[in-house]
Amino acid sequence: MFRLTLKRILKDWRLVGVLLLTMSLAAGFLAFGPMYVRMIAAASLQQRVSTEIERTFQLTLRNQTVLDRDFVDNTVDTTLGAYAGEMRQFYAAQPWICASPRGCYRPYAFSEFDSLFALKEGRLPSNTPQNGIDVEAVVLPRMTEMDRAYIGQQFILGEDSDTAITVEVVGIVDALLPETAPYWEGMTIFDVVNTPVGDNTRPDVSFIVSEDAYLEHVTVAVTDIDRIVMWRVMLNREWFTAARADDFLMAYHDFSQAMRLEAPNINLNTGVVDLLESFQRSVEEAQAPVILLSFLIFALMLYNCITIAALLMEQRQEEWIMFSSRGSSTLQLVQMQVIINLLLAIAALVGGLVIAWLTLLILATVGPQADVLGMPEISLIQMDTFALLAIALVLIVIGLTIPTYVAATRSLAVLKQAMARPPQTPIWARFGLDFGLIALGLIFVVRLVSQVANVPLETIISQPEQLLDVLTSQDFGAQLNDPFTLAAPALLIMGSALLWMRLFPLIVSGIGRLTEVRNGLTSRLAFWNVARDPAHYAQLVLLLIITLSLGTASILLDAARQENSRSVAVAQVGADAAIDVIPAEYDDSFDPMTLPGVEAASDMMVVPVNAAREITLLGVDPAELDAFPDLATPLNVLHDIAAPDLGGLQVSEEAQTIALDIMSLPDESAETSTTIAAFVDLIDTRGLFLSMELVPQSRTSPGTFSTYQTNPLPCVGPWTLLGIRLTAEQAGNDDFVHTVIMDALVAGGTSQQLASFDADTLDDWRWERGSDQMIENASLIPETERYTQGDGALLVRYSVETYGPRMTQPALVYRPVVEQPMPVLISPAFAEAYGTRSSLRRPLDVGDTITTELIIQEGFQTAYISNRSIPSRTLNMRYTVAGIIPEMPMFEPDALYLVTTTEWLQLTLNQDASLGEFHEPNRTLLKLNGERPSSDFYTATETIPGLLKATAAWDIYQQLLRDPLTNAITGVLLVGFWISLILGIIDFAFYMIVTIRRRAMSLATLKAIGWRNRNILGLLAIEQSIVIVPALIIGLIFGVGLTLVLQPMLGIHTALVIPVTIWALPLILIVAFALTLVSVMQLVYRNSVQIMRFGE
Amino acid sequence: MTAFIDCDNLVKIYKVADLEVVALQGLELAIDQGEMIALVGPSGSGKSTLMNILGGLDTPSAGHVMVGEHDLLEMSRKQQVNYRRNVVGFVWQQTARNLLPYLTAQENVELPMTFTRIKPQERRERAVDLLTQVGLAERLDFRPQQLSGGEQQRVALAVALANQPQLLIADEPTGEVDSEAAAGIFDTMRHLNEAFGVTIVIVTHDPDVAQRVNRVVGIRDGRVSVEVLRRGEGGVDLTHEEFVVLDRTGRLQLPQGYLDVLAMQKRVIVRLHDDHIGIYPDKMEEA
Repeated sequence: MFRLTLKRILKDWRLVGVLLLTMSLAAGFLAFGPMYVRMIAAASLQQRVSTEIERTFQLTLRNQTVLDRDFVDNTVDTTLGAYAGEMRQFYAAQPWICASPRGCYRPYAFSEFDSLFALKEGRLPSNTPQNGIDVEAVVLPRMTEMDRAYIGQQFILGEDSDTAITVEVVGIVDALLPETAPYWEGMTIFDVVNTPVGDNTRPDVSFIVSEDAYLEHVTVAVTDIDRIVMWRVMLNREWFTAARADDFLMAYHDFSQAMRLEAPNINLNTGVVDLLESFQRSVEEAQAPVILLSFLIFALMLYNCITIAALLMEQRQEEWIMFSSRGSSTLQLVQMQVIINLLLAIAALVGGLVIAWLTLLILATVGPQADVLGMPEISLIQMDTFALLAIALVLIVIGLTIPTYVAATRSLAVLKQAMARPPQTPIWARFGLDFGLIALGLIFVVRLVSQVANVPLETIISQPEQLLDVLTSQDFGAQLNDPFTLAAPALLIMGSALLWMRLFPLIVSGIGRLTEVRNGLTSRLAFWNVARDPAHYAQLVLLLIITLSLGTASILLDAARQENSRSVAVAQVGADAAIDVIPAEYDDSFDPMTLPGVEAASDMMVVPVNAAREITLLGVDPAELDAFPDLATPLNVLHDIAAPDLGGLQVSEEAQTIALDIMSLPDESAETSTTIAAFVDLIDTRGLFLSMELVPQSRTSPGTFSTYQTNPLPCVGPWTLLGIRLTAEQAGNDDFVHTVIMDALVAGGTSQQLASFDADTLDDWRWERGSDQMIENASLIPETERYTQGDGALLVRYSVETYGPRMTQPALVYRPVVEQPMPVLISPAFAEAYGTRSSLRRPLDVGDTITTELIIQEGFQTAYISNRSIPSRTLNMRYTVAGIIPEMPMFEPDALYLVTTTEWLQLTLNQDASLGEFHEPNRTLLKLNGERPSSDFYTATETIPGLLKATAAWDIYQQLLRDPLTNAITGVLLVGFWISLILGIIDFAFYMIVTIRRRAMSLATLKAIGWRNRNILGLLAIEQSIVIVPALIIGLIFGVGLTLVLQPMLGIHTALVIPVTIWALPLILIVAFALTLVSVMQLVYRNSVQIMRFGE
Repeated sequence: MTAFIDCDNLVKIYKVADLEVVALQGLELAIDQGEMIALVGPSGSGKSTLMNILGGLDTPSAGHVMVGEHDLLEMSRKQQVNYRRNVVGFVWQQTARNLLPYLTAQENVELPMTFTRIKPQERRERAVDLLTQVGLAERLDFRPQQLSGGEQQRVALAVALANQPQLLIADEPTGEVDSEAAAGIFDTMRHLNEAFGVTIVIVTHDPDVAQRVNRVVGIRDGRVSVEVLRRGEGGVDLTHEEFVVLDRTGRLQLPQGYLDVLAMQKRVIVRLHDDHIGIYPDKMEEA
């Protein structure tokens, strides 16, 4: 039997080859899906690796005790190998060590000092200091600002006099690595740290000593600190590829274990692990749906394989008849063919792998994602590849046994000449299986929707349109893990397929009758031919419909995915591009419009607030936003918001000082003289409050005017004068009344007179509380009257009293503004979260005014400059809801955000800020003249002073295009379309060959009565059209439907996008079948001639 | 002696759409073992149906048929397969149905034995022996396209006898060959009949073949109508007589020609004479 089988294979090598190709295509397709997922994920990983910040590739080890350096080196080498690059060790301590004289310090020591620092001034520390100094130290340049540290500075560390050490700063060094280098993360060696202590701040200094000095002296002197020993290993970025992901994670695991054996409490941290695990997760998450979809499409291909195999066996019918006549049983016939199928399956294991690989290669070269995919690597082939190939081939062999069995029993029937009898109605049609399956499928759909998707049954019945909404919703996609979920579409599809088989002959007959009214034989004959064998034509049409649906869905999904990615990218950034800056380092004179390709720019202030859920406070300039319609539209209400009123007196921008003439009248009852003090309170447009003392410019004497003047106003401005505060001191007297006369409040350096105090009344001036007591005690309000000598001045008689630790300081304020809540637009999530927490106990609504306490960081939160310590403070933010924004770019739908004008936000946030740390615009949105920024744009942004990062929507778009799941689904559909098309063409070609052979006599007869070859071609072309036209129309419609269902499942929420390339599908189909027809026509020419000769 | 093939009142009805076709209408036939007969009859007479039944390819609707010890009406499907494999051999008119073009003559003869449990060595020996018997010992490795038509049919005979069947059914074995080849084929069949004692039933339209067998059975309208017996010695016909077959119930089919001459249609008058039975037209009907 085996020899016979081999001979049969050799004899029919062409047909066997076609069967092998068919099996390889189908099996290769099933194996292709997971490989493609890995390929896309690898491309995505590659892009992330290449753009990820350097800090991600740093491995930090932190321990409290010193470890043997050789041990650490060896462990790194043996476990991490080539992944690890340079390693550096350093020592630090926590918390700050307060020393004497006053001041607190933090020591650092570096094992690789020479490669990290260069001497700038003074000298490097010696390990043998002289002159009673125990430890010599160096500092970095900014430490010496405001004389916080200086060469020659000495301080003592340690409270125990026996072990205390004297430290002297002997030099200033520069860091050789850039300040933004990840190595410096968390280190405080660059700047003095202002540590909050009560209401004040304490400047803390970090210094650097040698490793020996640290270990031998510092750790001995100071025992009540946490000693920190750290190693930082830079991992080699170029080593991190998808192929090595598993390898590195295993190596890292081994490394961690080895280190923890030696130091159980050691802490290890690297961003690479998250990166690689995220990659692995993305592959895992995409694999399941891709494999599921692949199996569904594979079922179609399996059906194609079965019909092709059936046609092939029909070609061998005579042979099988002969076997039957020689006494072979049906089982033996099946056995012979199964042996062939098994041998082919083994060959298809390799063939399928080749097909899968070639498919990847084609997609990487000319596919729709060719520009984001790299070349396929061997690592893409894993165990699941072979497992899927094996499963596919087992299913194919089982599937091909069906037509084998049918052919075997048919051979006996033909032998009995039973095939001469007309075919009976199939069993499924006799028992209405098609209707039954459809009804059952609908029941499952109703079950699915009502139970799984939580929509009541009555709702579905009364509002059937809700069914479609549920089926196309994102939540529905999550139900795919319910096995019964697939039962519904499976039953519906099977039932619909059988119903199609029932209806197709009726349709063809109906159309055929319509064509009968026309003269001409061709179309009538064509329809009659099709009507005679509707089963196979119906199957072929069905297969083509599904094939075309796959292609249509693939193209539409890809277009929608690109459009969606583009929208999401722009929405994430808020515009075409955005630049984030560190305001303190930013040059305000820089004009972003000078960047290449920039058409419009809009500054904004983005302030993240740490809370249980992160909140973002956003300040924008409505006028500048008009160039960004996506943002301008939801924020349109901001145009109607009035600018905050600062009150006060606007001081000229050219003002250098504020000056006030004051005459202090002598107190006759006082035993000692009275010393007065005056202050001006200022505020600028950023809400920064400044109180400056008015200092007498000359020696004062009671009874004469002296000019009191502030120091030069800080450059941050322009300023608004809010008011003047007065106080006085009498030695030994805390409770007295004093009188001063004030005249001529001027802006120094200009001709601006802020107030003359000549009028009889104070007009817009009024006394404001200098303390809480002034509100309660009217006697504390100063008396004023006009001083009539000279041009006129203001006489002020005021009480000085002490209430606890505070003294009253009456303030004369100009046009004070009643507390004004900040008008804001908020997100629905914010309204819900903070409204329910407030006294309102309900979501916030337009018009509500509440106060919310937030913890905000001073100045600009620099998540990326982690070597700076930025204090935070409590802000009581009072605001009025001017609008609720349902959705807006830059934020997720459920994000907590609050938007107002930059003016308002600054005024609110900076109310207690210092001149050194305040909030100001830190992001600029850019509108570009093209979708993709030019390379000049990227180059130019790198030179922006104070740049933190520049983000282009294009880059995010490219990243989103690399999303494994959507890419893989689209790719599987596209490849599924092409392979199904090839199988369909093979099926069709074989069917044409078989039928032409079967119809050889009738075709020859037609030629004998005068038909030419072109008439026969026309006949066959019409028969083809009966197959292709419904497939085209229905396939395109089904493809659109499939797209609409898949889009929300893949998180694509754009409207349907129909690219021009969609019309390529019907064209491909028509061309493919036309070529097949032309090829098969050769058989017509040959056969007809033979038949005619036979008749001689 | 019990006949080897005994058909008793054989009936076969086919249903074609809503139409019932009675292919065999109570056919009766007895063939002794080792006999070589020809089966003749016009198209639609039922000879293909009878062949299918005798070949185990079909089962009768009614009646009784025994081939050797095999009751063809009571056979299960598995028994039918064994019957086709071991009891009956077929020779078809078309070479394509007899021989596989990609196998040699020897391999073709070995093919039916592949479906049995005969060991390969025994298969080869038997194949060589059979081909020798049919005079093709020098053609063992020839493929069918390398053999003449007559040689192909002789190989087909060897193939049919591969599993040592008791019955050989040949359907127009000489239909596609010239007269010389036909003679050779027929001689081979006679040789095999004598050498192996195999019962041979030849379905044919060829009058030459009909003349070469001792018994010709004519079938018409699903019944055996006539038989021609030849008796002779040494291959020389001594007597040749044509009989109208009388079945067990006493029915016979009168030749149509006779009926037409005497205008006999519905009823006839039968009169017993001393040594014959006279059949006369119904004069009253004529009148």
